Amino acid sequence: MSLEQDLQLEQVQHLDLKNFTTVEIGTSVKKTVEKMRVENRHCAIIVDEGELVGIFTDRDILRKVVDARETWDLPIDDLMTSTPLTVQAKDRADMALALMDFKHFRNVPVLDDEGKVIGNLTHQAIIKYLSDRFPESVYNLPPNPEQATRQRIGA
Amino acid sequence: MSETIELTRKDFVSDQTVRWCPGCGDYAILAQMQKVLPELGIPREKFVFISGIGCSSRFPYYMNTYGIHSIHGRAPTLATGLKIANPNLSVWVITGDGDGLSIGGNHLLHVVRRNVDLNIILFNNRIYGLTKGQYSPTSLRGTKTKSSPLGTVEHSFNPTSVVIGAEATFVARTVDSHVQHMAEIFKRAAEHKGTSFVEVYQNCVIFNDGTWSYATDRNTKDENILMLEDGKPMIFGKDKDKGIRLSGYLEPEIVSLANVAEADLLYHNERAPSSLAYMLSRMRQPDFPEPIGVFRAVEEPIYEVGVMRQIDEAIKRRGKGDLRKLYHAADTWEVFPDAERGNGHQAGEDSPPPGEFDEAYPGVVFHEEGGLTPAKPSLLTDTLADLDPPPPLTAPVTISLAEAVARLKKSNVGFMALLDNNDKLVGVFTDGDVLAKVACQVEHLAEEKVKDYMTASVTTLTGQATIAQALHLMALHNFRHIPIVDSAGRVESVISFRSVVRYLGQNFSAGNGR
Ligand SMILES: Cc1ncc(C[n+]2csc(CCOP(=O)(O)OP(=O)(O)O)c2C)c(N)n1
Ligand code: SF4
Repeated sequence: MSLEQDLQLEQVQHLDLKNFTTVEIGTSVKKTVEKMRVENRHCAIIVDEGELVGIFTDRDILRKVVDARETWDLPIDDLMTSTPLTVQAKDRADMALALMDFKHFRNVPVLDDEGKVIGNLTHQAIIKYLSDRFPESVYNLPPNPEQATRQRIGA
Repeated sequence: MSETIELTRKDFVSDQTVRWCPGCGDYAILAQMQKVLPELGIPREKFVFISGIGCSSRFPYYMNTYGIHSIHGRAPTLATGLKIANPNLSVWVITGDGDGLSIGGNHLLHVVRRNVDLNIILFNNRIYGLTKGQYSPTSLRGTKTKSSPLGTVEHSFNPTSVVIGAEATFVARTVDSHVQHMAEIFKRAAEHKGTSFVEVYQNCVIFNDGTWSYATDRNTKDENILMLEDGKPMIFGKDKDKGIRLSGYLEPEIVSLANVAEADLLYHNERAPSSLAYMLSRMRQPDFPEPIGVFRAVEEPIYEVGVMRQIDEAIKRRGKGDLRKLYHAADTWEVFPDAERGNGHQAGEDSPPPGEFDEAYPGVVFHEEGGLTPAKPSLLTDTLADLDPPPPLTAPVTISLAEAVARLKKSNVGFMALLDNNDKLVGVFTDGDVLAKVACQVEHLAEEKVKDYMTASVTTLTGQATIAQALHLMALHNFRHIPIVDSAGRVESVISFRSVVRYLGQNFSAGNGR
């Protein structure tokens, strides 16, 4: 089966979507950045009583926060991207990928039937999906390219 | 004042050429080990890798740690001795199904039974790889190999069952292609006090390709694998719609979650009596999904602790011993070499010169050059240069932090290569660095230098590296960009995850990938 066909049959919810942190609306920018740093996530999903209201990413940090001290104590609502584009858990993976590619999105929140956030579609999810699909070619490699050999050794 | 040195994966990569067949599962295990060790907070000089004989047993050469490539099946023995002599070491035994369960079966049982505080990783490829494909104790009944042309007649060993029978205090199983899972299991094994036993399903692409395909194929693995999680109900299936329940006679059965409540399923408990772990180890394809994860983890007295305590007590009671006196206390006699008595083998006559001894092992023949087919085309052969990657944003390493941030913003990218005055790459500065070290922490960016905030230890590739290699690093480290350098260390271009994804989308049509 080709990769395209595979991705058509795959649902978004089956990708590895754990790459995000959740922050309540009203949290300060500083606290949000801190939480992202501690949890090592590039994206915060902003919720209001569990409902998605926005996202805030490392891109936003670079563009709006890092060199603007005055923003640090603002509530995250002021800087987040409100009502971001989302995809559904059962959506086709290829459609979601096309969306990311076309719009240059690096994070797309994933919602279940009831509108609750179940994950975040990121580069890491795609890299992991691709690597898992070709495990022998990707995982089974020497630490450095020049350390490979074509001659197998005996004991 | 003692100083802690931050270790990285690179610190554990040795300079030895890795001599496994292209596509061998051993590579994935090596990569995860090199990734996990720096995270354990143990100084590098405290690690020792001890192996027996086999393809898998070449592992210590590739780890930049202390290591012993020892005698067939005897790695547990050397490891036990070493651990008693120096209990501060982190000792890892690397063995194969042949090494650990045929010739070394006895040694494996006893190290486990003694609960010496060390970690055993058994690479199970259900075959003798090094000697070119004879059946091993884990080959399934009926397997046809060079040494069983009509199929094996005997029952095979199940490594986890065997060590649970020997009362192992930590038993786990993982799969070469489930790399994150493998990393977690290695960490758990390292943390366990006592013998940790980990079975890794490892694919031998040459002599037993696909023996674990039911557990690795992305279309079937979720149905065929049960992820054990302590305290959680045993649920599996791609849509998490099936579970394991106990029927009468302590037999597991598969039930559908449509009919059975979660509370009625079997819950995993790593500290349960070993009969639970044993029952789990008996669940096999095609009747059951095969459990992976930690089967059992319990605290029991540790061998070397007990031995050392006895020695201390004996010294307290009877004083320090005198080895010389002991030697001369009882009857002693001298043994002469045969040659001196004139009735034996004369050294040097027909024995091979020492350097060639290894290759004279019965049955060990080098593969003919070119006799191997690389695992798969394109990914392994197409190079990064073929992707025609663009040049990165670059800047002198001397600029201020404010300037670096401004330039990233202006170019609207998240990656910058920093160069010295010979144009050599000395670091990278990315949106990841901004998040980790700068944002909401540094107020006066203009007063800081970017070189104090960049990532100085950069993983690079050359244009001749394969696309698979780039994907490998991206998957291993979550890198989004990898700089491409020439032989003089000058950056030529940068490869981003986006270009790799594009390439895969375009090039992998029917039958091309794996
Ligand atoms: C004393 C002795 N007996 C037999 C051999 C031949 N021999 C070398 S490796 C090996 C088995 C290797 O199998 P395994 O441990 O599964 O390792 P793999 O190569 O599959 O990783 C055997 C029987 C030997 N080298 N020395
Ligand atoms: S013979 Fe098999 S186990 Fe040995 S290096 Fe080759 S693929 Fe790996």
